[in-house]
Amino acid sequence: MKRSLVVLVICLCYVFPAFSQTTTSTQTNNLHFGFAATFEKNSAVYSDGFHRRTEFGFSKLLLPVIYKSFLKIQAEIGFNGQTYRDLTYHLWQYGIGIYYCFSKKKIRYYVGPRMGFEKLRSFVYSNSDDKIKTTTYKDLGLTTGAEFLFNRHFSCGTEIQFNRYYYKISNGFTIENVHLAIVPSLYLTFYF
Amino acid sequence: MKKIIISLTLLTVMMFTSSQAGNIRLGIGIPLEHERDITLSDYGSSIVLHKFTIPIVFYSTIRIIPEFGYWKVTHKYDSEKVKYSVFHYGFGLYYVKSFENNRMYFGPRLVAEQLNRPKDYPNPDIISSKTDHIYGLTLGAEHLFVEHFSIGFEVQYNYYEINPLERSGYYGTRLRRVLESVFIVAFYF
Repeated sequence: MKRSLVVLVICLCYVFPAFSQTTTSTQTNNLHFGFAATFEKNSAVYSDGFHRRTEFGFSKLLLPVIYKSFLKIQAEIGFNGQTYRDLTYHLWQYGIGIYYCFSKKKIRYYVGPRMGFEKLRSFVYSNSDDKIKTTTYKDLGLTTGAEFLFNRHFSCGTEIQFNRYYYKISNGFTIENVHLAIVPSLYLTFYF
Repeated sequence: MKKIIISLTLLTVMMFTSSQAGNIRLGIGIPLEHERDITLSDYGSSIVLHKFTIPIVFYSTIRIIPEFGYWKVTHKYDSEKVKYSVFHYGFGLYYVKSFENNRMYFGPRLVAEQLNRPKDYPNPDIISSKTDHIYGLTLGAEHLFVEHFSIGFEVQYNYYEINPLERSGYYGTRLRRVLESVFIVAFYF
C-alpha cells in the first residue's frame, strides 16, 4: 500500500508541473514529456495459482519522453493488489523502452529494445509454511509502433512487442519457464 | 427502475440548465475499460457492468463527472424466479488545465456499487443487499476534435472495498488496489 502510494506520488511529481505550464514554454523545448494509458490484451503467458492478471486485464501508465524528435524513452508502471481473507498479493510491473523515432507527416514511427519486470509478491497470514512467496517475471524484447499526432499535445498509437518472458519459481521445487509472445497494445498519450 | 427514472430526470434538467448557462458545459461520455466481474451469487454467476458518464465543465477549470451503471438480471430455476440488480453511481471532481483544444485533468473519484438480491434467497447466509465502495485518484486528458466531440483517457488508481456476500462474513471484506486505464469517447452539448 505504502509503496504503491510512493510510486504514485513520484508519477504525480512528473505530471504536476504541467498544470502550471504555459503553452509557449513547451514549444521551445527539445524535450517533450507526456503520460499515456495503455489498453493491452492479457498476455496470459504464465500462471502460478495466485496470478490474477485476467481478473482486471492489466493497465499500465506510460511516461514517454521525446528528445529532439528522434529519441523516445518510455517508462512503464503497473500495479494490481488485493487483500482477501488471509491472502494479500501485489503485482508490480516496471519497464523501460528506448526507441529510435522517425516522423512522416503526422505519424511518428519508432522501433527499439524494451525490458520489463513483473514482481508478484504474495503473503499468506494463516498457518502455512510458505507465508511469503515472490516471483519475478522478466521480459526482454523488441518493440515497434506508431502514433498518430492529432496535434502537439495529443496522440493515439499502437505498438507490438515481441517479448521473451522468463520466470523461475522456487517453492521446494524449482520451475523455470521461458515464453515467447507477441503483445499488441493500443494507447493514448498526452504531451505537455 | 425508480433510480433510472431519477437519473434520467436529473440528466434532462441538467441539459436544460447547461443550455441556459454559458459557463457550464455538459456532455455524455462512454468509458471503454477492462472488464471487471461483479459476483452476484454464491453459485458464482457474475456480470460485467457497463456505464456512462456525464462530464460537466465549469468555467473551463473545474470538471465534475458523475457516472452511472445499471444491470438487472432474472434467473429462472424451474418455477422459481430470482432477480438481481446492480446500481453503480459516483462522481469525480477534477481540476482542468487546457492546452489549445486539449484538456488535462486531475482529482479524486468516489463510487458506490449497490447490489440487491431477493430477500427470500434460498441460502439464508446470503445477504439481500450490500454496497461496495471505490475510492480513486484520476489523471486524465482529452482531445476535442470539434467543439462537441472528444476522445480521451484516464489513468485511475483505485481502491476497492468489496463487502462479503455472506452474512457470517467468513471471507471478510476484500480490498483491491489497482492502476486502471479507461478510454473515453464524449459528446458535449
